Amino acid sequence: MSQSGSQSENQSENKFDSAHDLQHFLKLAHAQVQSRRKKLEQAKDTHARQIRLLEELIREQIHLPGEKKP
Amino acid sequence: MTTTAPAKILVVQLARLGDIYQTTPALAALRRNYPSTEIHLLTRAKFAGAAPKEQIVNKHWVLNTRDVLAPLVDERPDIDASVKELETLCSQLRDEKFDRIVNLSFSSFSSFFIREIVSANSVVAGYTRFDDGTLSIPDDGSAYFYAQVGPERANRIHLCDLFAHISGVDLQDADWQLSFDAKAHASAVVNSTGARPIVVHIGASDLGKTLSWSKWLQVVKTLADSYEGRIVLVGSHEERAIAERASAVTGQASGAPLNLAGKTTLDELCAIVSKAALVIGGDSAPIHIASLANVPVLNLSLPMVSFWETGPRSKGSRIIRIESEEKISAQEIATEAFAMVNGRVPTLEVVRVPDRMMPYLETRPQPKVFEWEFLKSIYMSEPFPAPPHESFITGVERLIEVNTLAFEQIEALRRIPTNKTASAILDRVDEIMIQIQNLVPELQPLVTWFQVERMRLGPMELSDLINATESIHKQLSTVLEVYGAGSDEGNLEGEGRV
Repeated sequence: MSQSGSQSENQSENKFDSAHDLQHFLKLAHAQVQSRRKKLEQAKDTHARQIRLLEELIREQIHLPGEKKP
Repeated sequence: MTTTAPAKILVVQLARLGDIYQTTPALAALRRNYPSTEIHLLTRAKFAGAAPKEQIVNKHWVLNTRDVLAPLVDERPDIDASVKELETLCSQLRDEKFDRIVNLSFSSFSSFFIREIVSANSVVAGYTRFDDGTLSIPDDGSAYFYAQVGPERANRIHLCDLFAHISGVDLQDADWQLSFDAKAHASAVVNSTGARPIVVHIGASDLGKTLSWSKWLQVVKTLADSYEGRIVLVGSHEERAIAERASAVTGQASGAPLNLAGKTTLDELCAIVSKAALVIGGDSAPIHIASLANVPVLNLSLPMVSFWETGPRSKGSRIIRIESEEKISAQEIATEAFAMVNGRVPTLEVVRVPDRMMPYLETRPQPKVFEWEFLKSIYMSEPFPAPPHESFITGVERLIEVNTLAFEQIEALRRIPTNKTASAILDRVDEIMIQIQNLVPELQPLVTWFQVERMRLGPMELSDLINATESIHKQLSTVLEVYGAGSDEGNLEGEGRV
């Protein structure tokens, strides 16, 4: 791994240990994942299911409201 | 309840520590019933230490949330890398071709996860998803959980029993077993001589499930003032700070409490709890560990949790129902603890746990008694209870009218399947039933049962949907007729279950 790659990894690791940063990045990721999932669903792409699974994991992690009960 | 032995079972428990410990009796019962079956367990990596050992589970899988989400912790999240990480686990589990998958997680994520790992021959119990993404609840036990479990509900079936039911097994006393590394020596506490320690857990996964920290400090001080043995504080790393403060109080009898919060592995925690004279705490993992070890628990139950569902099961345990912590003093809690340690009768109005296989003994009047009796008649073939008041009958009469209206729309849809008016009215039936339930809360078990049964239908051909909807309305009418106009005592004495 290059020097810059290693530094980048360390920065990500630090972000993971900071609850505030983690929430921030996961909220950003959630929006992108949701957007991609909707496009895939419109295109009837079977990969939408895998994306949906990731979307649900992020949602659970950052306590975003979903269905009232699953 | 057992059937032909499946070759390979996967039990999925993606909730927290306490849920994994409460899943252990069901896993042990599966092992007892199916000695030759390959039993796999999936938990989150973070809570993997709570999983039972090899005697019960052949293979332990873990979902490492951190590894899945790590590629997303960046200004430019690598979604594909996260998906790949998740799919790798799904693919491995799919390849196992489980005969039976039991999902005891009851979460949205877990339901989507199960959909991704089923193979053609898998029989699923627990939440999963239909192809269109809507929730699928294939088994009655999980439907009961969805409809009737929760602190605001009337349910009195313990989660351990419900987990076993969903897993398709009955529990025996021997199924409560604590497996941990016997070499775990947390400290001299485990091997010390003299009075056995009182273990106190001052934390919980949610602050609403336990006393305030200031109250705990008072309780710990009062215990340490009078107990000759050691007071041991346990908890997670996050609870170290408050445990540190509590350990600073020096009792007149036992000296300073020993603070082990955040300093033990789960195996060490199990070793400590199994040697305790008593465990005191709210709804949290040490309570459930004590249940498995059959160590008495003084459970402080706050309104956020239902002790009926997650309370201690160990013989001789007691539960103090605390509506507000201002209404109970630290001295009262400590006195009750000493009464338990010394084998004396309760000093407070407690719920008693006579044995792991026996129901709780409650002396105080309980809320929602009618609803619980009503639940049992709907789900468990018990006789229907007498109506609690006149307005209940009025509510039933309104439900009968709604039910009749629904039958008319079903007939209209049979004649003309494109009848939009009939379809719209039928859709409104659920809303009207909720309004009636809001006026007569005692009808909640029945209305919720109906809604969940309708939800369980899932996507299907219109003609099949009409037939299935009619069937549920017919089941509803059998209950309504018990209480409706012209009913008599004879109806109430009949067996229930819709």
